[in-house]
Amino acid sequence: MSGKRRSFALAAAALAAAAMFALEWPTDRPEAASTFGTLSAGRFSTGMLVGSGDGLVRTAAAGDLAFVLDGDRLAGGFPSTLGAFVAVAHPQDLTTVYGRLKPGTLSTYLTTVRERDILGMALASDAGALTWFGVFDRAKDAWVNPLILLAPEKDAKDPVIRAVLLSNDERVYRLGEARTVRQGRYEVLLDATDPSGTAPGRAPYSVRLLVDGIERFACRFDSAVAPEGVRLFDPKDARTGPSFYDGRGYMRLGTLDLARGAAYLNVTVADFEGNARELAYQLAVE
Amino acid sequence: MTEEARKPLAAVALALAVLSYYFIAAGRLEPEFVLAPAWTANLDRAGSADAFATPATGAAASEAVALGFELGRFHGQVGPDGRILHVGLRDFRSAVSDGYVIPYDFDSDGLTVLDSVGAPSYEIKAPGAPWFSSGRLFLAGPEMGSVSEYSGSGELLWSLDFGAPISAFAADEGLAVAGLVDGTIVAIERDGSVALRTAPGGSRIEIILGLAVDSERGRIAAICGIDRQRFVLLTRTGGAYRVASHSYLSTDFRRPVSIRLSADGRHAWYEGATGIVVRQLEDGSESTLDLPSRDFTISEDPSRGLTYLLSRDAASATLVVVSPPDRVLGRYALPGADAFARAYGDLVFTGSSERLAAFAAGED
Repeated sequence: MSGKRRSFALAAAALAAAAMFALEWPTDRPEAASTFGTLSAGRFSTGMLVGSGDGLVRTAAAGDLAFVLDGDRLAGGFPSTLGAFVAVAHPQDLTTVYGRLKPGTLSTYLTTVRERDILGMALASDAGALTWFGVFDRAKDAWVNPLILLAPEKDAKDPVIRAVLLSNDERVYRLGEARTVRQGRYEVLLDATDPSGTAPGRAPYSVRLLVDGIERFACRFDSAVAPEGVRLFDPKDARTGPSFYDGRGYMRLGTLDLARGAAYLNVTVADFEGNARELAYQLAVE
Repeated sequence: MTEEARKPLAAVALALAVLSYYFIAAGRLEPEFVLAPAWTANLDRAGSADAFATPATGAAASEAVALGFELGRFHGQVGPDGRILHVGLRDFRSAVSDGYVIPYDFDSDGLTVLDSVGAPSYEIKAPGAPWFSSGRLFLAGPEMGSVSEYSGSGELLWSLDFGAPISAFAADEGLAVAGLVDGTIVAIERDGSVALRTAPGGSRIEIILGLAVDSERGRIAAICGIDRQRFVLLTRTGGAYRVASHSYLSTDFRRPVSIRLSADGRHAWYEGATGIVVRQLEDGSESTLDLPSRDFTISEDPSRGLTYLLSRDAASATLVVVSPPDRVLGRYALPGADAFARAYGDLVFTGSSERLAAFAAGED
């Protein structure tokens, strides 16, 4: 199966799961402060941050309380980078994970939970109380973008493309400003975000790059897997792995060999609600 | 002989019988186990390491050996003679080994590793939370989704992403083992290659709650599953790991569970419903020590055949000296929930309530 087909298969599987199983937002604010795929601590996130107005974190669906870490260390002392967290096992092979909880507030006495049961308090931050929320598909060994399973956000804002760069060891061209570039091999870098409500730094849901009408990169943040010990959004495309973001947080869309003549680049960025931004560039290659 | 004449004779016979029993039948008393104080150091005198410049009395100093500690507001290293080599105030969290201290916060992008006298030794430019085990340095990656190992000079040795969040982790000199929320166990060799990826199963909800490893004997022990919960022992035979034994438990834990394997390979210690279970690996027989069992450590003195078991609850700790499997030789209360105890030669090195101390094990 080709990478693209596998990616579509995973997306289809995730969407199929969505059709069968829906989740409630885990807090009273149905809005993601950061989305699945957002750069976080040097890596892309496999969950999302959700604010809580009343500070409470609730179960997204009924299930079994499978794991409660009411502290920041596992047995034996191994540290938890999710802080205090809870995992709830649901039917349909899904597990929801609630991290960044305030130690001492977790509902350790529960064994089964109903939808909207209180699990604990979200940890306070400069941006208010925030919890980390992730959805894991046990049957497919894959993290699933929670937005697929949650009620839609109220989001009418288009994503923002802040920059598209052509970069190599010698020079960097910012498309839009540069209309003429030298021939050679370049890495395509994209600085894009999906602002929504008060959350400015979210990853978009999909990114697509066309060069001279041919698709050179396409990625949808539907799910993430780590079959060989390396996490990827697309199991057949190493570009969607840990190096997907560079040190500045730009998405690395791959390399291009530009020969003398004209080149047409088309970049499309969309969020999960379907709001999209598309930019086209015509370049003279010398 | 009249009845009256028999009474004195009976009294004399009874007295002789009592005396005979006292001298002939009485057994020799077992010598009593004692922990004799060797030295103490109060960390609340701290402010600078200069406060501890004077060596404490006790065993001869050994410049080469440092014992790492993490206690209350402090972390650092102390020599076996009680001389503090380095003490620092913990502004955030810290990871401590005998050679190094790493202060860290979950939001930091990099780590500065301090040596045993508190001087910067090397840096790790990666986000995550550090953890030392058996002299090895691991880094828990963001969102509990990965683990990396670094060398003693800060060089990345390997990194591994997991498909689900880590719910248990253990490591010794030869093997690192991660347990995941989806019930998978992943064993990782020193070179980062995956030696084992398996899901013990056997329960309605699969999850790994506790892990212990003994790479020398090729053993991995796990507390896993919910409805029903299991103890599982995996043993490496012919290059592959197989379930050597298992048993269903009466517990229904849904949180991390402490489990340890003894250095001599004879016992597994784990949290039970009513105390700490000591399981003999040879025949699967079990005994239970009536102690708070949620959070415990063991440290062993193989020369004396003793196990120092530190059992902690919310406010205090109890140091129990055990001759395995279940003969308790002594119990000592240690104030403070962050107390620790560790065997070092013929000493027991303890910390509690911002006070370090060493005791010499002996008999009275």
